[in-house]
Amino acid sequence: MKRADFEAHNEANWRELEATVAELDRKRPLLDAERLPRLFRKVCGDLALAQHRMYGRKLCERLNGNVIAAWGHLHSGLNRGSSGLALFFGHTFPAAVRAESRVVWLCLAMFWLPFFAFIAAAYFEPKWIYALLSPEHQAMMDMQYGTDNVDEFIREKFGSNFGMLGFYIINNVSIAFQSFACGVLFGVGAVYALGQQGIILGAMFGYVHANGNLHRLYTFCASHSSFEILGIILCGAAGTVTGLGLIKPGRLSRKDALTAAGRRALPILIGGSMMVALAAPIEAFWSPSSIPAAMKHTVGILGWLGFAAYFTFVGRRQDAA
Amino acid sequence: METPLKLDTLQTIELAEGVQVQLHPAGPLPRAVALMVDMVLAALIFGGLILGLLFLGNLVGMEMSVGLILLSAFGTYWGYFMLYEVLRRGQTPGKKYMGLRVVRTSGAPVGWGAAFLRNLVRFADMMPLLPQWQLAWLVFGFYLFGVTSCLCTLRFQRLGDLVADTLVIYDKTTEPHFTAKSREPIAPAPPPFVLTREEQVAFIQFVERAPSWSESRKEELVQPLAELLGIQGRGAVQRVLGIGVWLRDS
Repeated sequence: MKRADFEAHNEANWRELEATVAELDRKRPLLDAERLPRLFRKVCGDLALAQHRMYGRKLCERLNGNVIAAWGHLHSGLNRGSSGLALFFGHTFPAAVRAESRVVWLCLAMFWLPFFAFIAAAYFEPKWIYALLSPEHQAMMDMQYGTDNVDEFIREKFGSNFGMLGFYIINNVSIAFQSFACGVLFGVGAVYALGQQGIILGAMFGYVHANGNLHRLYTFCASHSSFEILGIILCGAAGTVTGLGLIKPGRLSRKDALTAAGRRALPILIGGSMMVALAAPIEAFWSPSSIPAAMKHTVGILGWLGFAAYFTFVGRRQDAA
Repeated sequence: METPLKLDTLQTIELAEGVQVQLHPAGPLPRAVALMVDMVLAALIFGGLILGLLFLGNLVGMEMSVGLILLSAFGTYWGYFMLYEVLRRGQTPGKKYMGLRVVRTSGAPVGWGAAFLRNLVRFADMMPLLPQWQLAWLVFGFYLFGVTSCLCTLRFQRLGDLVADTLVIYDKTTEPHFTAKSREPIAPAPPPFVLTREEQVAFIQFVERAPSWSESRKEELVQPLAELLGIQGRGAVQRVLGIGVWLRDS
């Protein structure tokens, strides 16, 4: 069969397929569900024939484009809806964190060691803290958590809890995202971001330990601390996982190792950033509210215990299966 | 697995249906232009949101609208590319303008996970960033890492593409910008010797691409064949074109 005959014979089919794909591109529902698969199978055969018979670049490219477009529509992702979410938090997320437990422990250490070192510095060598916090920063800490002043400095600056929600989300989730993204650079970014967060936060807490109102600080931070800090650490851990793919590719090429690491890091990253995002409304609405301190402390402790239990126990059954 | 070096960047992928399709990865330059278009559009969207929210602020109070503006800055910055790439089947407006599309390396459309990954790692790709200021995340960087990674991989993948296992491809094949009209009709001529499949393809492709080359370039390209055919210069070009036409149309 010559090319012209082949084209004449099949043109109607291709036109129909192109029209169907154009309709799907415009998100119009297809009335007869079997039309796309039928046309797709046909054009697959046509493309293979055209390639084999060397009908030329132009025809092959047209059919090639048609196959890709139709295939994309046939294989576009399934929307699993709420059951997908339940599967993610009931199994995928905690299992992925456990699978990378060594990296997660490392990242926990990278955050908590400088944090506690600076709190210890408050009692032994406070000059470490003063070296880190600028005088303006110290003044701000005094206003928020000083022994005499009872104003909510940040809240006054932004005026309302809703303003704070925007600030917390843009600040905290961006930090989490950035610590993941920079982890791709051989893990350097994640180590830097986590260490830096640990040092800064440790210095701020240490400063209040040395000369501030500890009760106010811990009452404010208790409730959202577990979500926020664990979330950022998990995002950093996801970044470290991808970075380790480059450092230690094993038997893969570095390029393939990066892709494989990305696949392992994705659930940790999604879960971690969701935790940070959840922390923001708690920090904006619950933590500064006038709920009794004992209640806030209880919620905070329960949060930490809850996450420990969650990552230890949840989603074990499908591991074995 | 060692793959032989090729002249073009086409990626051949075999689908589960048993047919081979070819993806045409796009290089850094058209992607940079697409990015510019997207940056301008994202800035316009954000500007519009600010105006709208400031107006809203007059009704519900400025504190509320400041929070919403911060949220919309966050959403525009981290969400613009991700939402467009998932909801518009791999095409941000800039990519659509340039005829590009993001797909998985398997050719399938990108999902939420892949789009999330590749656009978070954009932050690493765009380093070094311009000097930091209050809204550092609204400033775009020089994409030094991204371009380096593009040039080091055969499929022009930036770091985000590698992590998310995606590619940016040409969506539609474009015709060459300049084509010369063929003045004289080419007489089909059977090849004087038996050709393998690859050789036949080469002849046919020569015919198809010839209109976009100059005469001297065509002569240069057929030079290795001149001795086999026993003709030189323009005659050799005509002969090779004739063989190509014969192979294509018979």
